Amino acid sequence: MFNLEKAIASWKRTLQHHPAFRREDREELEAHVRDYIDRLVAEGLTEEEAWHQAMQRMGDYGSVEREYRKVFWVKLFNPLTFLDNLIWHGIMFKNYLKVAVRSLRKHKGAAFINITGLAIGMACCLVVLLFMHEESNYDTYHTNDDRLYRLSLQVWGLSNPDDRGEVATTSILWGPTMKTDFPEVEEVARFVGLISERNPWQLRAASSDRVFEEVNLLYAEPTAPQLFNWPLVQGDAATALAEPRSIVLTEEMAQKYFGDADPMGQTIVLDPRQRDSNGQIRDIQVDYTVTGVLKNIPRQSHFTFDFLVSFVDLNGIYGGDVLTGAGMDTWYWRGRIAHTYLLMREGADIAAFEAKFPAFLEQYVGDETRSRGYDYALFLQNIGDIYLDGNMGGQIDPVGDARMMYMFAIVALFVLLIACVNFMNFATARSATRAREVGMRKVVGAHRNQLIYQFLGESVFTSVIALVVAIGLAWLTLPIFYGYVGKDFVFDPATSGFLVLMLVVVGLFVGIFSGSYPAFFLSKFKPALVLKGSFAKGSKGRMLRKGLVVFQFAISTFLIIATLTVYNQLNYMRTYDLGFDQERAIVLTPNTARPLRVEYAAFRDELLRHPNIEAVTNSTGLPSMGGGGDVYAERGTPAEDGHSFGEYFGDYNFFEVMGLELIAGRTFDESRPSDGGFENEDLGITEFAVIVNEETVRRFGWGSPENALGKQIIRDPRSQDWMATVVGVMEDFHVESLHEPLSPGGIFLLNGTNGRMAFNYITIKVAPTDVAGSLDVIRETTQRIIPDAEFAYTFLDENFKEQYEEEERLSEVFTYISFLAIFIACLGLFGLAAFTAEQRTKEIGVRKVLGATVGGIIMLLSKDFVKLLVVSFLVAIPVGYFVADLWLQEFAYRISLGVGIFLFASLIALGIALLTVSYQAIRAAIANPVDALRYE
Amino acid sequence: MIARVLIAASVKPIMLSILESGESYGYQIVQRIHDLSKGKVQWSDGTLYPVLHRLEAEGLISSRWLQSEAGRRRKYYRLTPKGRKALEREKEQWLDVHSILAQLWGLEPSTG
Repeated sequence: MFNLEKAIASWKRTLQHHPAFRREDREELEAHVRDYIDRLVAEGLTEEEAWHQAMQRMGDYGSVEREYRKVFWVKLFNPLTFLDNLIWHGIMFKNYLKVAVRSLRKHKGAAFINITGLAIGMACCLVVLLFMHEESNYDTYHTNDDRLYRLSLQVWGLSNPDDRGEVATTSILWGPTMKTDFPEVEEVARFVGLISERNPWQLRAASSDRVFEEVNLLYAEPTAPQLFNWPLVQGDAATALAEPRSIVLTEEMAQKYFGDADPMGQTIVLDPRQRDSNGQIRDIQVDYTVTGVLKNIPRQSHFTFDFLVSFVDLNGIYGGDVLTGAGMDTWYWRGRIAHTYLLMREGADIAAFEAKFPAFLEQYVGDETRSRGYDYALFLQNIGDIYLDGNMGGQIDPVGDARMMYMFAIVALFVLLIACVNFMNFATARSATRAREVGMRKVVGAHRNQLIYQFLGESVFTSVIALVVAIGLAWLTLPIFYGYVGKDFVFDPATSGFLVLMLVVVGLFVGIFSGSYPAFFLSKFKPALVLKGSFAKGSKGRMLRKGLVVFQFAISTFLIIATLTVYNQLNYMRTYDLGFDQERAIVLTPNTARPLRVEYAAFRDELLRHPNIEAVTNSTGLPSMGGGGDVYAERGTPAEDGHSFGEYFGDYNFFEVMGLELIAGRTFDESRPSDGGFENEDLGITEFAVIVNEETVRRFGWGSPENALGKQIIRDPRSQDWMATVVGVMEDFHVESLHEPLSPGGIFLLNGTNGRMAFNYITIKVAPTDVAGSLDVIRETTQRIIPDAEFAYTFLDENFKEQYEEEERLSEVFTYISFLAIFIACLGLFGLAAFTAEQRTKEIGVRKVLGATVGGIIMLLSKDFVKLLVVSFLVAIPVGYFVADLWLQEFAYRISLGVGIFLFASLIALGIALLTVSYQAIRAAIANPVDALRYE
Repeated sequence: MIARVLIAASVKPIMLSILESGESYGYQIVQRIHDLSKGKVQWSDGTLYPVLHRLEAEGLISSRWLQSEAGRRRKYYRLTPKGRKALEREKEQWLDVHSILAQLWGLEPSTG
């Protein structure tokens, strides 16, 4: 029985399924049909007859829809249409999902390669994105962050004005002076840190016996908590640090020292663990009163601390008023000991303010730096820019590095792109298998847009699966990655919003990006061609696939080049002849060495009785640590002609133990007490003997080492600290890391006539056999002589290598990443090779029947890939050369970029790729041709 | 039967002309064309609506929904001033074409 209403309702649903019809249009068409039917019924037709005639007159669905489509653009943004679409797609979604799952199941290999590759690429991106999010959100909590600046400094030697170092430290007196002199400065906060990691201070609550070693304690001005927006949970932020002997601690520390008791007004005893000249601890204990408890300092701050103590207490330490400089040595006007932060007034012109800096320095520092051979320039850094502006010295805490961050980001993106390319390649290569489906869908009325949605949906589906795997991978690798960048991974619940957003974006981006081309490509098929069977399998998009493979291998090769460059440079630095013998040398570090000052002779003699201990010496610094130094000028020349000069003070045998080579003159002589320094009464200056390196001879222009003997140089020509007479010249040794160029330096005698025992290090040369046994002897002897001190030691060579930690980490990260990149690229290649071999099954069969050899067929199948690889090398090598060269510029001593690296990188890529391809090629080549030809 | 291309070309002036005599709705317009062409113009009713929509998008006609006495909602179209001008231009052009053909076929004396 015909039911008009049902018929109309069903017809309307058909219309609903198409985005070209808006709800309004459907209503209009319905009114039309009803009007017409009314008339026909009035003319005597049955409802059913009227319905059919009306439908006939309405025209077939396709042509009507096509007409509507012509005005489609107007409707594109109609929200109702969009809603309709959603509903419609909801219905189709089930079907798409089913097809997607089937397609994944049917092509397990490709699905595995796609999901593995995408998951690895996504995991890399997730890790790096989280890292970037962490790194770029430092110091965002300060209320005045747009007006809060750090006063930073450029320092350079007059002899080398182009090599400017940047440091975060300034004179302690500049800050308050600027506030008085410049109205645009609203407020100043200075910090001074006196504690080094090596020599922690001891703190204890007066009410308890428990002693804690602390490093994170800063002297801070009373303005600091308010300027930096560090809220106090107890006490008054404005006055907490106003009184001398006040201490403010974080909640965490309050808990540590006082438990649940009220910390306010309690006493904390500070012991700076100072040692006298004999290395004995001086009994200094100072009482501090707790005047405030800070909320814990946000992790994302370019420096953090556990305690702040009142700045005025520095008056006693620096011997004058740290606010005005009254009573303080003039050194404090140029010495870099404080961190200075300025709060600028609202609307202050920063550039104009910075322009006043040269005159400021001229007024308060003047010639004091230049006469000593160096100079300063001041600049401001906004608080928000400090953390990522790496490469600056003198920071309170280690900071990040934007360059490193972006490098990681680019590399991670590379890996992801390679994986996306695999996806695209598979989807287009396998297009033939989907062509029939596309044809069928089109025949039953699917629109191209629908097909595009379908294929995009499939790729998003794959990418979501990969994303789930990637989350797991990322979770596992995050702590490892953070280990490489030298940080602890902290999961911060505050980032979970970002996390979710990031996951959605990565999942959608990968799905849509890698699915876009295949979707566009697959949906284009002409159903008639496909269904008639005249569709050339896989021939479409071959050029694009080739281009994509080139792209993948260019990136992989580039990463291999980068890895090899970093590795080679690292190796070069590790094995570089530093000019001194660093093997088998055990070094006792200051905490152990200093307490041994008193009983040094006994300690040395006792050790030397042991057959495996070859020599014992002591020194103030070590070659690997750069030592101290100052500007020296030749006697009788102006101070401006001076050079910075590294000083090493050591025992008589320091020279021999370090394995330094003498070129001219002599070493220190125990029969000449004057070597260790004597008062030259004629000149009114102390005179030492010094053994200088060749670089000193070159810089001072003394011509030959022999000619240098007897020359006299004066330390800090302005202050005339002392004079040194050259008694010997030794071969150059690298006093600093190989990042730095060779610099002049020399060795002074430490234990001279004045009997000073000011060494910080004891170096013990041991026999190559049984180093562990020797170490036990040293430990045992040390602990017997100074039972209350710790036993801290290192190996001299380790010490030097520590300076390349960053390169080492970089090298490892690069090795892993390039391995991942080439692994994913090869996965893709493996799949493509399988596909090609499969396509050419018949051709191979015919060739074999006609007498082709297995080798010939392998060649045939591999040839094309080799061509692609060669093209990718041509792309990767110039880019690789450029980037590697740029990176190497950081090193004063660097490898030269020979053909070797590029050749080797290309060979690695080629080798791995060929191995991958040949597996498929061999499989195809040794297959029985009968199987291939009997097919069909 | 009139060729498709001709129908496609003439549908715009036909619609505008129908609306020139007053506001009307889809079914009525379609019916009127049917009656006028005495069945010589055969097109799917459905395809006329997109034409109406396009004319509306071009700003030549405007529309509004009205309720009929029977309670059926219908979309009424009417000419805009811009549509009126467009119709004038269409008229000139069609009459020019008509004049050329009429002269060529000797239906009308040549003016040249």
